[in-house]
Amino acid sequence: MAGPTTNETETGEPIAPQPDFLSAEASAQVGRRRRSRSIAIALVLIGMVVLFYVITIIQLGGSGGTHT
Amino acid sequence: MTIRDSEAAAIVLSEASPNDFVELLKPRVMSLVVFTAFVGMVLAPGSVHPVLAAISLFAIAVGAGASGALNMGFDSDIDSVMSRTALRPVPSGRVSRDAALSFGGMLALGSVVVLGMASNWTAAALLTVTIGFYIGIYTLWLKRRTPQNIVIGGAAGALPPVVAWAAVTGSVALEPIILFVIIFLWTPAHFWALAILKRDDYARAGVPMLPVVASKAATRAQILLYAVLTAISGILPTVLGYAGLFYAVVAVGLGAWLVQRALILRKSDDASERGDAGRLFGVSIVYLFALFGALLADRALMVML
Repeated sequence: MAGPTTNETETGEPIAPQPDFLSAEASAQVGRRRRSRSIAIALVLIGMVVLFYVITIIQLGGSGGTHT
Repeated sequence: MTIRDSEAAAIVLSEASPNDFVELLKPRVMSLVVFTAFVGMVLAPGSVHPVLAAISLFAIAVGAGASGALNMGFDSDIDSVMSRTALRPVPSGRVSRDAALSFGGMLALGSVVVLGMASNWTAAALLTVTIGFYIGIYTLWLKRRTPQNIVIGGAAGALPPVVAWAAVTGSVALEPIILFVIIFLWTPAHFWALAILKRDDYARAGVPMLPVVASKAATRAQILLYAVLTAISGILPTVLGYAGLFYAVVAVGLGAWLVQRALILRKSDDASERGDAGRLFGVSIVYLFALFGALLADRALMVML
């Protein structure tokens, strides 16, 4: 399997690697996994927002707990 | 300046799925952490809002998972040559080492902050110590240097009930320390039984687990010693008045079972060693879950009677 190509511009700036070897099927699979990763990250971020909101509301309500 | 080929390949070939990142958290280890922490939380005096208790437990579990991800990042070279771990996300190439370390680091930080906000900063500090001990002391220092790696490193796995106790009370007392001692003494027999099964793997990876560097007789004797110490520590909650007769009966029975399996391994020959080690490994898992389950049941009985 051929590796990705890496190049530089005339001024020496790197050019992003070009995937010159992915078949349509492999490309679609990478795309699906990237999409599922993005959805998972979005869900985690939403979860974090909800988590901090809930913690704040309960702590502000003064019912966090009693230590004996 | 050019983009290194390895970086370019990582960009193009990143095939990690969300499941790979879940696998980095070592879910089976997390289940033990969650259960022992839950017991520590239930036994702790005082009350805490049930939602905050659940969030605290979640944070402790995520902290344990973060330790697993960091461990997989730092130990990817070892994992790649061991059959048990070669298919993990990092050695199999599905997740890069840097991604695993970043993921673990972010989760570690997040779990500590969430625990501090949901409970108190004493518990958060203890969770920080737990993660730091597992990564700094066990993974980076002891694991590749001494056969006592799992003995000392086991302290990290024994801390979750103490963290959970602190999440409720804001302090540490003798009772959670006894739970710590039970898990701490249980760890060597549990892991050395596994290490006997994977002796060749550990030898190939250059990890000086006791079964790799010590004779079979010495290893089995050490396993028996720790099984006996575990069984004795198991009855401490009743001896010290923290648990009742029901727990004592279960603890004695489970302890006798664990010691019996260790005795059988002690007397096994080369042909039966792997089978006996495998059975001891299985019994050790049942032992810890059942013992902590008995503590819960005993507390429930005390409340009802």
